[in-house]
Amino acid sequence: MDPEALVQCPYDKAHQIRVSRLPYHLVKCQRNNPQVARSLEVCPFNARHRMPRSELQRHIACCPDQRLLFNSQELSLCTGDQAKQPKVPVAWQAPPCQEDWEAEVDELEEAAPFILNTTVSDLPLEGDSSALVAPPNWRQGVGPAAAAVTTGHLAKGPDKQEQNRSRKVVAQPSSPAVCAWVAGAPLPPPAHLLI
Amino acid sequence: GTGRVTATFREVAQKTLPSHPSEQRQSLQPCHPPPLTEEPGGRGRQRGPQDAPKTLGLQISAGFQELSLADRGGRRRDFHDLGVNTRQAIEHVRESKTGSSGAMIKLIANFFRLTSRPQWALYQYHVDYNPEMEARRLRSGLLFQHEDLIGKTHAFDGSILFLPKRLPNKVTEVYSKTRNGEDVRITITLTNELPPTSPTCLQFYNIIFRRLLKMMNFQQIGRNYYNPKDPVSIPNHRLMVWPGFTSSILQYEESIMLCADVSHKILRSETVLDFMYSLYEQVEERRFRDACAKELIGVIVLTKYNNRTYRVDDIDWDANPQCTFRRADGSEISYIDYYKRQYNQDISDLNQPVLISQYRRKRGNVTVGPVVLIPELCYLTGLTEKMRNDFNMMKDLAVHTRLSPEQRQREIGKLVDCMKKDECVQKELRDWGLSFDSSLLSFTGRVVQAEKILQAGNVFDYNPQFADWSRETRVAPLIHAKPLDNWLLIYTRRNYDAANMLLQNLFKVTPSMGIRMNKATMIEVDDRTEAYLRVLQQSITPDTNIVVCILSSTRKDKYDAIKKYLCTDCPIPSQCVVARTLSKPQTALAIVTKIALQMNCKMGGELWSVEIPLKQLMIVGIDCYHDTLSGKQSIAGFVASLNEKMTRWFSRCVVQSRGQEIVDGLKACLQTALREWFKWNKYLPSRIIVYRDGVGDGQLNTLVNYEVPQFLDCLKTVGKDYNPRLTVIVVKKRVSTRFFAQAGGGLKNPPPGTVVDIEVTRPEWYDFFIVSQAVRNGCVAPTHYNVVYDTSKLKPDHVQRLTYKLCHMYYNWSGVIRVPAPCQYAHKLAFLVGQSIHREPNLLLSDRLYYL
Repeated sequence: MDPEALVQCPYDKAHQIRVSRLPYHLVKCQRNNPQVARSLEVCPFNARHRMPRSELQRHIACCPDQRLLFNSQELSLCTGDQAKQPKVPVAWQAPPCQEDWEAEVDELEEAAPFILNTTVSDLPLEGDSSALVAPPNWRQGVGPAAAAVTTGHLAKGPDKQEQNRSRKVVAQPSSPAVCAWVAGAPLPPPAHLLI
Repeated sequence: GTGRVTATFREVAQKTLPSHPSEQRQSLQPCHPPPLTEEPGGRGRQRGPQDAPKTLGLQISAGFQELSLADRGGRRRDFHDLGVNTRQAIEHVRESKTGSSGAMIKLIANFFRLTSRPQWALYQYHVDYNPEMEARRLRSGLLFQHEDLIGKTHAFDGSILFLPKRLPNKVTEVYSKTRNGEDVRITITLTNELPPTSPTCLQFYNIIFRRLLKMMNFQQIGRNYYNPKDPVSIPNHRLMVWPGFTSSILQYEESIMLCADVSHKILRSETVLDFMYSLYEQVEERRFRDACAKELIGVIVLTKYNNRTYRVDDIDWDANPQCTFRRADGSEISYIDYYKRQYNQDISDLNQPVLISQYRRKRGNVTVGPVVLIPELCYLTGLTEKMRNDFNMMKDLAVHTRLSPEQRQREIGKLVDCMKKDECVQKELRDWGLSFDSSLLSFTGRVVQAEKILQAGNVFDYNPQFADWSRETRVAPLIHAKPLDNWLLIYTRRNYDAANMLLQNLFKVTPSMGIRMNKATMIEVDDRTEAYLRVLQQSITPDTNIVVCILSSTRKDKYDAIKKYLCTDCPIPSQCVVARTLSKPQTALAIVTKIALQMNCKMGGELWSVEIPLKQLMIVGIDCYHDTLSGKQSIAGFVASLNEKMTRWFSRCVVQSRGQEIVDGLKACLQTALREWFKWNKYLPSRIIVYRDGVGDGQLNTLVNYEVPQFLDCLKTVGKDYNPRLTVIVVKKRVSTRFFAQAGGGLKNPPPGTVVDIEVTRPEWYDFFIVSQAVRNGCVAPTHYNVVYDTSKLKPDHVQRLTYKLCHMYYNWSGVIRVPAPCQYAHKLAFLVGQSIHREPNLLLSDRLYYL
């Protein structure tokens, strides 16, 4: 697209913005129109596509930038074997680290980071609708219903930590811990970012 | 009105172009709005009087910011990224953002402290004219008829007046007379009082400083100031170097300082017309226009009559200097007469075409049209690709431009000396109550420890002075060697020897690296692009590991075609080698070693690693490529680590519209990177650290509010309880900060690993500098890192050291580089795609460094 071409600002229909300046304008206009900003959703493929919630699904189905996610379907005949799961090289093991920065992370730390630890080889897709089909190679793994999931979510208290550390759960497709991947309503960016 | 008459004062040949050049120019003029008067880019633009009062009074600092940046020569852009206060949102560095490890080192930086600043407040006034006067010069002239009231110390841009004193009344009315005898009422209204601590005052000091440079006869080109009186000429290359300075006054960590660095403007003592003539000699007539367009469009020219620079956007072959244009006052004038009258320039070649510069500048609601330039009066600036490849020229140029630390310090010192000697400058400084330290800032930095390089079965140290381990890496086996079982070697008949030589030397160097190698399938081709492509189509099988092509020249088209085919249609790693690089027997082994390492990386091998004392950490690197000159699309490269040792990288790229610097598709990129990480590790990273390179001055605010939310959004959609730590670090290579290490009596470059997080950093940011690379000659440039978002709770010391560690991980260079490896990988990827492929490469290649 010609960078000089004008597009309409989603926050204020009266604004005609040059394509190349749109990101700068969106930041400004989003801040100036908090009302409108709350009602708009951002397209998962392209942050400049912003539209009312009701139009999002339809947009996602036909967004020209979808290929960002699905390019991987391009399977070329001449490289049949490379389409398989990656062979993770294990030959070399690094010597043990002399330092451990994790241990030094601020003592005021409330909760250790959450670690999702599963054996599923495929992860559900964003906005798992019929329009969005996962590339075939991700479907080769174990189905999500049979996935064994270990959550390593460490809570504040030491007793709770013990409890949670290696609890095995069987994830159901609707299990909230894993499958929130199916996009609910994405939240607006945290307020402190809008300086 | 009377304003119009004087408004034409500094007009240049600037007009809206007729859309059909062959038709009568005159008849087409009326359909275009006449361009506004005044020089393009002239300081103190003529502000529409109606919009001036609105910005005033309400929000003073913002209003002044606009004044000083938009109205005073710059574009409406804040080059210093003021007001992006990211540190306050990062809780764990509010108290302290400094690291602790490493050895102390005494440093000097190119900064001068402001030792005194006005202790009085600055008073801001709005000035109105009745009847309305438009020309800024006229407005100033009329106002300063009342110097007894206003005083000698003032700053005025046409509507906003700054004085160091308060006028007796809030509203003052005075009367002036124009040259035509017309009476004008001038109303001076006090709108604001700025205390000496106000950040707005800082901007004001910059304006004063720029005025001082002007007083010392420095010429502003772009954002820097040059001294045309003291040029260095390099006659054998027809070059001229103007010495100059880049300067800025800002609030740094402890104090307000002036940062001054040496800058050089390279001019060619050749006009565009000369260049066209010499080109005419070289190419056939029918290709001449195309050749001109290819060589000239996009270059920056300097017009010596007003010392301004313009970019050539087009060549109008149908026009010539005898054509006329309509001036703002409605009169018709030819370019010849115009340049004669306005600048006393004679144009001798009456049949030359004219150059068009799309000078885009908004004046109120009118956009000024293109500027017409005469080739004979335009001097070429900068270096062409061809000149850059001319080793001797670059060597001769480097004598003048690449200054050693001591020379550089001396040059910077000259600026201060000049200021001291100049009585006018001293007076101006005294009047405003400003003074600077006369010696450079000195303080203490830290040199963090050198890293141990880990290879299979071998751990070694490198010489920290050179930050290079090419010798050591040759003998140790690689971390992960990919076998060359089945590979193609394609060459032309003429390069058979080179191909053979490559093959033989590969057999020599690969065993010690641990690379298993079979003899290549050798294929001879004709030296044509189609021949190469046909061979590729016929000979590549699913088992092919890599394709090596020996090329007979550096011609880009063949390389592009091969890369395009092998990165998109048939995704196979490929290595192109120009035959000439293999021609010197004495360097052959070293070069083949490098080629072998590069081939191994492209196939997914791993060379070395360093200790990374963090678990479940994913590093992301982003860089942009844009070639605005040739109007190509902008490419964002995105690279993410796949393992904890940072030896494997996943990559994506986003093709964006031309000239776009900010990335739209980061959410999808990060999502695929997380998915790929998951495939490799069977868990998701608990920390993500993003290094974002390629951010220009003034884009920080947009980056923080446009790109960071994309990452956060992405992480939110992964899983409800998935809440990894995110750190976003903006990497900047182009900074004017320079550090010198005090050694004995002299100055040296600081050693690799030097970290600075005090004095010259900014209080509102969580930022630091690292000197990571070693340079042989000239001054080393530190890299600036600005942590704009951070929930990692990592100690600043660890963030600094991690960053330095990552500068060791770029596999195309067995040494420490200027930026973290992911940034350099992202840059390489974006460059390859932007230059040769023009679309996203096949994702089957995405887990290796095929773009090296």
